[in-house]
Amino acid sequence: MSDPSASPRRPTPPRKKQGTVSRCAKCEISVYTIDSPAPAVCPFCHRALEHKHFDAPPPEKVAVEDDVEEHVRRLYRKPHPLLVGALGLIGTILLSIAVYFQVVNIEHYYYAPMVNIYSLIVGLFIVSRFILSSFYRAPLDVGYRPKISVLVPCMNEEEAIARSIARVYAEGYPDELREVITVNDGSTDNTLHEMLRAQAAFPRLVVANFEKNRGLCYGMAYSTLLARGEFCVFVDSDTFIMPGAIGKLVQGFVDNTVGGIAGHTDVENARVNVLTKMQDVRYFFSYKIMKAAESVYGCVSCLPGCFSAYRRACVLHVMDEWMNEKVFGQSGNYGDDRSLTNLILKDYRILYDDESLATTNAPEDWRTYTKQQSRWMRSSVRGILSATTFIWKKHPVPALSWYAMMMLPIIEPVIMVQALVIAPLMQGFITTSYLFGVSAITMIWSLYHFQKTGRTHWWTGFVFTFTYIVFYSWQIYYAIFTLATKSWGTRGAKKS
Amino acid sequence: MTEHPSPFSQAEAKHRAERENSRDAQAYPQPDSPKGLREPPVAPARVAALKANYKQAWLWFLLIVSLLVAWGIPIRYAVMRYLAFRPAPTGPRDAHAFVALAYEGISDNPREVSVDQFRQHLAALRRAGYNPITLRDVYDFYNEGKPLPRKAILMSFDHARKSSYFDARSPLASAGWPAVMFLWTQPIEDRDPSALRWPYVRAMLGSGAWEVGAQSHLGFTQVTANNDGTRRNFMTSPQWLPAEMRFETPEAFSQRLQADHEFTRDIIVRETNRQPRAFAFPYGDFGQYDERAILVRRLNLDLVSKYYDLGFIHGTNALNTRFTDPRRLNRLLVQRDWTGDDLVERLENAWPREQGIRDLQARTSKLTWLPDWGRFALEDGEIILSATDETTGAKAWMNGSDLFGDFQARFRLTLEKGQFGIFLRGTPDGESHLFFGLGDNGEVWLRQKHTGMNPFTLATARYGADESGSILLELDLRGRLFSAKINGRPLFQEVVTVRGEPRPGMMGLSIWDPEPGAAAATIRMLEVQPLRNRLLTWAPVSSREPGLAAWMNTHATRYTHLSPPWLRVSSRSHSEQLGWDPELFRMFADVYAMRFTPEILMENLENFDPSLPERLADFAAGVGADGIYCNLSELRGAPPLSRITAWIQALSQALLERDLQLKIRLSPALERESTFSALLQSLPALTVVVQDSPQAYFQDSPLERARIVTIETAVIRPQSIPFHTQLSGLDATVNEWVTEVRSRLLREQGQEAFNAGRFDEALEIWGRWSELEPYNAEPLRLQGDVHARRSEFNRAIDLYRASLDRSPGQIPLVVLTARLLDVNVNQPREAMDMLNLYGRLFPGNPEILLARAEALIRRNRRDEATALITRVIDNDPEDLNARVLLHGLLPNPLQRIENLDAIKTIGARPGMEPHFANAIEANHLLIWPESWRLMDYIETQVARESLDPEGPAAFTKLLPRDTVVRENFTLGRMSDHWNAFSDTDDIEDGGFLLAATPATAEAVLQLNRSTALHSAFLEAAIEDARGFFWLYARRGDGTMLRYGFDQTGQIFLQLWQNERLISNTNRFWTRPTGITRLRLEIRGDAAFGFIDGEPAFGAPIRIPDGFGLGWWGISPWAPDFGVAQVILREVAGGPIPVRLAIFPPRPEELTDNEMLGLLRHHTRELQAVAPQWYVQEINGRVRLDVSQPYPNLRMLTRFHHIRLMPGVRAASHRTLDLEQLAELAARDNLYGFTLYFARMPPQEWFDQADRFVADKNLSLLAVHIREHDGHVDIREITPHIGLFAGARSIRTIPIQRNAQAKDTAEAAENASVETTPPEPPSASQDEPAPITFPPPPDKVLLF
Repeated sequence: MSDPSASPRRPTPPRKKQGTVSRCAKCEISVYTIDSPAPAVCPFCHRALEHKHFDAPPPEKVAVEDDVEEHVRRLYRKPHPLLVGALGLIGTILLSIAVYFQVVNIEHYYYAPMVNIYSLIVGLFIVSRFILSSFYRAPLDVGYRPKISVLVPCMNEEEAIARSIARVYAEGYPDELREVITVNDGSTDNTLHEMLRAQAAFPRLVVANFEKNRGLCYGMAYSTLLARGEFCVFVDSDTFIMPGAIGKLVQGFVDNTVGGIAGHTDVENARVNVLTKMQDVRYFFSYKIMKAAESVYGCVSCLPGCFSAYRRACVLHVMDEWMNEKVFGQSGNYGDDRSLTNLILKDYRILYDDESLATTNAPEDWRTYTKQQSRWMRSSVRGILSATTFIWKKHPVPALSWYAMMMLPIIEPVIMVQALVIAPLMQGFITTSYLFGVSAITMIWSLYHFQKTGRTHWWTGFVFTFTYIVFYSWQIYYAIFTLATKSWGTRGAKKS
Repeated sequence: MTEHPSPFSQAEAKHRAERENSRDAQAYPQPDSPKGLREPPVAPARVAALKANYKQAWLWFLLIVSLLVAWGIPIRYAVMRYLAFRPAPTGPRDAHAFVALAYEGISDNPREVSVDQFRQHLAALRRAGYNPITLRDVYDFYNEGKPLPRKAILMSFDHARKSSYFDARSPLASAGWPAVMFLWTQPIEDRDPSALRWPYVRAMLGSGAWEVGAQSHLGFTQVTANNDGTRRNFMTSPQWLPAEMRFETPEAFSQRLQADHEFTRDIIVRETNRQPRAFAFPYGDFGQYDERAILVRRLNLDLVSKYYDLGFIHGTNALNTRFTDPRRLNRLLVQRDWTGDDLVERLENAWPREQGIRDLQARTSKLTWLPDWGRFALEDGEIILSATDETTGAKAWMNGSDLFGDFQARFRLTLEKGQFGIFLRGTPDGESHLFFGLGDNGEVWLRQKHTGMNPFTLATARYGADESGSILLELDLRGRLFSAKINGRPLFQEVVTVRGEPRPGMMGLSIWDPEPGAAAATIRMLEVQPLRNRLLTWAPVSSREPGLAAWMNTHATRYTHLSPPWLRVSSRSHSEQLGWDPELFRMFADVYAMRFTPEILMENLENFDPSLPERLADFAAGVGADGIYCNLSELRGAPPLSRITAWIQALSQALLERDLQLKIRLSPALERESTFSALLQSLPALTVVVQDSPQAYFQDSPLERARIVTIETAVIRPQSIPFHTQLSGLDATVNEWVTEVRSRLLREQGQEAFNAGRFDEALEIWGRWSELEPYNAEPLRLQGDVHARRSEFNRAIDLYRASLDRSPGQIPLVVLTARLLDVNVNQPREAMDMLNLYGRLFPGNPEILLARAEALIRRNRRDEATALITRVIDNDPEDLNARVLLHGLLPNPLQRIENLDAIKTIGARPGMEPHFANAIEANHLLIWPESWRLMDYIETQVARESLDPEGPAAFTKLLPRDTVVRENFTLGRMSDHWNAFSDTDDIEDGGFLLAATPATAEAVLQLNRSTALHSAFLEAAIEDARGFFWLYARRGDGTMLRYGFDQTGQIFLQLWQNERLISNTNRFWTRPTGITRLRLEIRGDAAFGFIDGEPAFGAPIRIPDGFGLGWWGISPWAPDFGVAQVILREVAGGPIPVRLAIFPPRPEELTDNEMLGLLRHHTRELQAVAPQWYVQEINGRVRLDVSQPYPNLRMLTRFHHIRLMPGVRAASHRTLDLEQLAELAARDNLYGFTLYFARMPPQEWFDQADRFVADKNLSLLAVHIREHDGHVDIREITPHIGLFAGARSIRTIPIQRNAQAKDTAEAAENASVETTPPEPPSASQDEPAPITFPPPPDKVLLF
């Protein structure tokens, strides 16, 4: 796109452009193209598409009103070095105390064998995350510029989609190397209209429209099939990509063994309430520590749908398996980002790039949050279970971590009950080592969050820990028992 | 794209080129190649390489894990070795006491000792030189006598508390101190967070630094102890069962505790695989806090010894010595507020005060005392003991007084109100002690208490305080002797003898008054000195001074040796200085528990008679001395040491041979440590006598001193004789002596009078004794004996009961009293009550049980009696009394045989033989019909070659007599074939006076070795008789055959069985003047009486089959004591030969009358007849072989009580059916059968047959006629008394062939019937009495 204000001439009324609608009657999918070539066959059923022409609406400028600089500045501030030093000291002390408790507990092992062995393993696991993550280095920016496709599947996002698309276009990746495909997954609102409006502004945009709702993964799959770039960058409709993020994101693909790369996502609406603040801290931890640690051995367990890149060939390779995944012998639409990641992980390495920044909207009310957590928990259980069959073929460090990650959440509620309920009832006091260990770990990663971002709501990490331990950890059992369920937490609510 | 600036390397460019290609290939999917989607992308080569790397990484991982596992054991070993517990060195082990500490817990709990404090304690103990010991050491100390290190200390922790281990282990380990953890298993099992867990217990044991003991499972819980819901300790209180409104029974209580002990022990064994060695009582309580809980205490202590080796309590006492009961060892409960120095100071004060305690320390040092309860204060150098407002008294123990055994104590005290008391030789738990009490009303008393018993009073007296109210009390305690003085005056008239074994113990003070808060006493002075060995002697001249005896009675308790001057040896001659009475000194020394060592003063050692030592030793042994005190301090000249040593050695050797001691006093110039050491080491039985205390010589070598003391060669300090008195006690009357002497005299005098039949005198003497010692039970019992003897049974019973009140433990007396009540005064209910009471008091006591069984037998409640006896036998299968008593109750002959065999097994134990012979005699085992089973054992014993000649001799007495003894008294003495129980042994003018003593109704002359006789005779030529005169045969308990006359002019032949007259024959007969010869004779089943060789009665009387055996003897009897008597001119007795008439198999039969004719002349000599009537067929059946019934023969045998045992011909023992024989005997009314065997059956067959006939009415004679040498082999099988005395074996008897013709029958009668014995073949004139000769041999008359 060229900036209209760059022309010295008076602006002429925009010429009405003609686009092509390619529709597959069987699949009930249409693809709207203006400047891009129209697809010849349906990517799903391989029938020839019937082509029609349509008049594109007059191009309007889509406002990208955000001050990106300000945005980034607001997100990342450097706290005072003294403060950082003090926090480091506090963290070190806390960690030492936690270690001390561990050592004491080993001596007193027989007084609470389960809690002790659990907290030992958890301690080792979490400390190993910190240690591993300290070895993490983001992929080097070597100026690699492959051809990429940015894929934005969405549903009922009439408010955000146009802006989101505009932001992708404003991101700064060379235009000729980038195509953008957006999929409207049978929205019931004006999403399609918004998309077509955006297409008018960015004529190279490809808009695919599912006439009825099919599910996110169909959107992802369809867009991947349409895509022509070597790499697919998935972007959620509510994700805001920072300038240069996509360019940075694909740097890791220089390595041929890399099948996918996750970008770093912060919470866009972090300031709204405690819940979003809490999620912000949590996101930061799970990206900066967990994913970073996993990335050291190329075993990132989940490429989040909101902002990550795949080698398109890899996705195509596993697509059949992904789309027809069966859970408990029941086939259905289970495919999501995590299972796709797993399938790719089987043969490829998956990395995380913490310099490729984006933000996304987190649920703002507890109900939605709970549903989202439940969905994530289910998919995470599913993903972890399905990967157990091959993960041992990977390096021992990620493999063992993987199994720990599989077991620990399952045991966690039991231990919590033993330490916080049974012990006080039976013995008159709370298992302090447990409480202290949990607090120390929360403290450390919360402070880490503060030290790295300067965001003052680091304390909401405790809220997260508390809510997780008391409520959300139990979802694991719910998830295990409802593995076959398909319902979609955040979006399903809207649909109904 | 090309413009895009990029610093790609060539490799990147190449990659890019590849990507371009692949992109072109995979542009949009084409419709014609749908499969293109599913083709896998090319896996780059690097993926494979990475996978290989993963494999490598996994291999490394596995390798490291394997290495860790493989090296785990050696690494662990190395670490353990490095960290292994190294016990602290403890130094030499020669001590005999230790202290123990009990920590309830080490923790931050404000009620417990903190960790810092514990470290302080440990540091202070180490500084003070304490040496840690283990439970193993304690066990060895008590069970194997292994000494402990000096200042030994046992650290222990209670309750299995977690913090005690986690917090105490590192200070303990760094000090190298072991410790004991007592495991209260309940919290461990319940996973109490403050308790240990079993893995830690195992780790503790594994470290070697810790031992574990048990501390019960439920012991810290409380049980409902009363109906008002009071809760008390589990282990010391019986449980109240509210549902049943009663306490649990003692059995249930015991079972509850046992179950807990077993449970605890099993858990500990299960978890640690080790038996707990020690037990700590929960709350340190085994029942000592309740004075009345004797049963509880005994039970708890018994259970400790049952399940563990050691038991621990805890409290204020720390010390344990040799004399501490290892079931309740003390531990000092460490208090929270003690610093390390406090603790050490306490322990230092707890060690035994070997040197006693001085006044100042006792009155000022608080740590000298362990207050028990009430108020105890040290103020202004006074000890104030008083009740608080809540208490009725106060009590305090003296720290470190644990070894106060023999000592002198002095107190000066003021008694304000109440009863002041001193505990001596006590245990702080009140289990045993001597208690000297002193009331403000002027009474004193001495009480004693033994473990597990109620206290009893030993003596009481009154005292008078002086005006100031101050009392000076002096106590002497030595061995079993106790004496006390108040204000210098002896308190009890004599020395009090303490009961039981003297054991050292603690000293304590107490005050008590019924009114709370009133009791108070002040002690102004207190001194305790250990008693030294002291030798009492005096200058020879003093021996004649008056009052020596009186002086000695007051002071003798202070001395341990009595050495009256005896000899002064100067040059060659020696002179006996005094005509002193060794008896008197001996008794004096006995009474005061002194050693009696007469003094010899040697003035010269030149040229003494070499036999002098031997003579001195002989004399000392002759007067009953314990040794000799040889005083060498006044030797003239200065003989060389070698000569002195030679003399000492010679004397010592002579004395040692007679088991006497030697005490030596050397001249002052030689009294040096080196001399003593040399002497003591070379002569171990020697004791040195010195003037000063032993410390003066062995001050620097406590080892030497201690060694000497322990081997009892203590250095004796002679009294410097501050008195010069004379032994005027020689002619002192009884009343001047102390009670001990007087009571001994009275006992002996009374016994003398009693034996002489002077019953009134005996009663009077023993009555005086009873007054003298009102607490002594013995005189009362003796008086009761007198009354019982005089048949004044009610009076006797009263006295016995009084005696039992004073000393309830006299079980034989209880049995006796009950028997009197039951039998003699017909108060069976009282008797049973008494026995039942004692049965409850002493459950399981066999004497009581048997007495109860006897009483039941008299009630004819035989089943209950059998049950009681069986209980005794179950408890102790070798209880002979029970077996004997049981025998009479057994209805089944087989059981009786079994019982007899069991008795035989008792006797067959090695070393039992002589004792068993006496037991057979004492229990009359031979009077049972089955006693032949014992005979083979007795015969074996007699034939046995024994080193101890007593053994076979004892059994020889039991054999049946095999000679006839004939005694006339012409030589004025009697042979030892007879045993006389008579008032006199007078034999004058060839007549023996057999007379009842004044205390008896009958006199007895028993024939020795007569108990097992079956067929025998007894004959007496009597001259004069008063009362009844009886010849007894087979007399046992209520069973006898007797023949004799009374003064009413009748002569009797009577048979008694079970105290009932079974058969009686009598006729009027007046004894002619002069000598009458009476003869009683038993032949087989017939008993005869003869007067002067003529039968006294027309027909013999029959002896029933069940009639037992017994002794034979002569006995006059009269209803009044001392009346019956007889003058015997001649007595004779002995066995009678067995005569059998058998008819060998022959084809033709004798008719009834022919048989009658043949046997008629032998009726008085025959015991059995065996006509040939039956035959055994090939198939083994026996059938009658004759056609006639032989009525005359049957009548003859019936009339003369000859056993009719028809013969069975051609008998084969293999096919013989004994059942059939029993049926035949019953059918044909026969006594039994004679079985003619061609060859004697084997022994097994006889054993079998013996068993078979045991409960049948069938007798058999197995006969094998040896035609070639004219003998018959005979073996008897009968359930009754047989024909032959002694063991049953095959006997060979000569055959006397009897002519078939009737005219030869006369000759046969002359040849075989023995009415008068033939003249002895070789009776020499020198030995007219007794005349013994074998009786005519047993014979078989063969017709």
